[in-house]
Amino acid sequence: MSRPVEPNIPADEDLYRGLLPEWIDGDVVLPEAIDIRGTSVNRHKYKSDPRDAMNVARGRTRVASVCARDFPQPLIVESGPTYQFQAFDLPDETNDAHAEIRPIRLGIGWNPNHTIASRNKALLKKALADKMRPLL
Amino acid sequence: MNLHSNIAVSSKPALQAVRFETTAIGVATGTVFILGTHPLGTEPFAIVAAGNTTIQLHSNCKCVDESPLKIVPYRPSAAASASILGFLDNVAEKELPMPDWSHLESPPSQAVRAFATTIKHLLAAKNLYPDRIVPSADGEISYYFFVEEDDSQCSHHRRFASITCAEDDTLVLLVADRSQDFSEATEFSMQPESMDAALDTLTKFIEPCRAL
Repeated sequence: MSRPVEPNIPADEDLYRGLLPEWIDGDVVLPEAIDIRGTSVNRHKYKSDPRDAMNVARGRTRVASVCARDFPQPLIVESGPTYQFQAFDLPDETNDAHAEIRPIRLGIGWNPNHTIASRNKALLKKALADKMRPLL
Repeated sequence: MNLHSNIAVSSKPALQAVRFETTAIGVATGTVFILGTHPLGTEPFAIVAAGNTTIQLHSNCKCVDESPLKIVPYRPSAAASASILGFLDNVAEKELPMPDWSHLESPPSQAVRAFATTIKHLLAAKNLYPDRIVPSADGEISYYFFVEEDDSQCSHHRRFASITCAEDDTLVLLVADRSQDFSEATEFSMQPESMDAALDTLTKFIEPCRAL
C-alpha cells in the first residue's frame, strides 16, 4: 500500500525526470521529454538521489530536474484558455516518490479529458522542457 | 552539423588519396550519414560522422577505418546525386531504422507511425534530412532540424525547428530560438497542400542558415 497523497508539493523541492538520450541535445532538454498528459518525475523528498530516476532498461540514461518554483509562467494561448503547470503527488506501490507535472487550465484545474490543441501542446512542452536542468 | 552538399575528405594519409564524391544525406538519431561513390569504380560506401570530430568510413556498411573529419564545399553532379540518393534509400531502410520506442510508456500508435513514414518521405523528396528523429514521451514523433550559424563545437543548438506527427493527425511545426526566448508553433492538417505549406515553411527557416 502506498503512502497517503500530499495535497501540495513544496515549490522548492527538486523533481527528477529520467530522460531518453534522444530527449536531450547537449545540455538542453527537448520538448519531446514532456508528456503533456502528465510528465512523471521523482520527488526529492522520497528519493533524494537523482540517479533513482534513471532506468537504463527503459532507455532512461539521463536525468534532469525542475522545481515548481521554476515552472513556466502561465501561458496564454491563441483563442484558448490560459495554461499553467502544476505538480501532483501520485505515489504508487512501486514508487513512493512518483509525481506528475501536468498542464492545468487557470480557474478550472486538471481534467484528463481536456484536449489541448496540437500547436498549444508544442508550446507548452517546450516551455516546460526549457525549465529542466540536466543533472546527469 | 552542416554537411549538406559537401565533400568529406579524410585527414589520414591513406584515405586522402581517395577523392570522395559525396553528399550529406540520411540523418537520424544524431548520426550524420554521408554516402558516396568511389571514383575508382569500387562499390558505394558510406561515411558515418559520429559527432563533430570523427568519422567512421564504412564500405558495404562494414566499418573499415576512422579518422578526423574535414569538410570542403562540393556540389555533386545530378547523376552522382541520383546514384547517391538511390543508395541512400537502400541503406536508409537497412541502416537508419526508426528509433526503438518499445520501452516508452506511450509508444507511438500505428497511425502515428504510418503518418511519420509519410512525412519522412515527403521530407526526403524535398531534400530535407532531419538531424534527429525523436519519439516523444506522449506518443508522437518529431523530426528535428538543428540550425547553427557556424560549425562550432557548441554543446547545444540555439535555433531549431521540429516537425511533429501528432496523435490527432495534425502536423505541428515548431520553430525556436533559445537565445531570444522565442518559439512559435503552427498546426497543419494532413491535406497535401497543407503538408506542402508546412514543409515550405520549414525550408524557409533552415535553408538560409544551411547555405554554404
